[in-house]
Amino acid sequence: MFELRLALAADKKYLNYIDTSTLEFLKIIADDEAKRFHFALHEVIINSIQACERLGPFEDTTIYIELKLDDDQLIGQVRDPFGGGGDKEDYLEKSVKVNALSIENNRGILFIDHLVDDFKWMTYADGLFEVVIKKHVNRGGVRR
Amino acid sequence: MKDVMPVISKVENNIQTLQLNGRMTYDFIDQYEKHIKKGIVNADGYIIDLRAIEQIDSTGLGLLVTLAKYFMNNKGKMVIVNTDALIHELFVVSKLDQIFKISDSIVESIKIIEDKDEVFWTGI
Repeated sequence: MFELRLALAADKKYLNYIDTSTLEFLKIIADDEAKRFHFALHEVIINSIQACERLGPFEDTTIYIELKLDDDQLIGQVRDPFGGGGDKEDYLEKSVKVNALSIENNRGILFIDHLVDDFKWMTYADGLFEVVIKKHVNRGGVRR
Repeated sequence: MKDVMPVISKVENNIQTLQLNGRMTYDFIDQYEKHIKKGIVNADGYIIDLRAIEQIDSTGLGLLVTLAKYFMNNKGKMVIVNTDALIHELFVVSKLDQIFKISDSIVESIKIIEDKDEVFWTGI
């Protein structure tokens, strides 16, 4: 199993570093699959940073990012103390129905759902919010 | 984005080309928007060239929507130049392909803008 773990302040100034690190990790799979998963993971991370910016003193807030390649499955997990709320299907339905020229139409959620095989979120009893995305990876595409 | 000029503008035959560079992502999106808005001139048509973009996300695509609304409200024509398959796929997923005119070159974009029969902003 390959694994990358990052724990960083929920500050967008670290986004470039996060993108560089996760993209480097994803070099173990084929370019096209890496690009698609990276886009989805980036969207999950910016949602998390945005939630922290909206709801808390984000400079003091840590977000946790885990990226794993386990057999044929790529798994991305992002945790923060502020995200969450709402039903995924409701968000997706709204984003599909709304006019494409709407500025705020949950495009990020639509893109994540399109780019990965499994996408879910949950809030734990301690208030921690977690998003998990999974994608099957063609082992033929894995760089060994 | 310290070393990259995010927007390079060129105006020719009353068509402004805005070549976007670097990261069009959440961490730079405010800076990006300021650069673009500052650089827009009065023209008949606008070409938004995405080919030099290093990375784009939903906030970058949202900025394209903001630009589209601005040009539409000012009766301007807008064509996006894109050759990236994933970005095109995301245009389709979000139905932006029904609103944006998309081409794969500047030459083709100019043809679209100068075509008197081409109707803009029809998918709204």
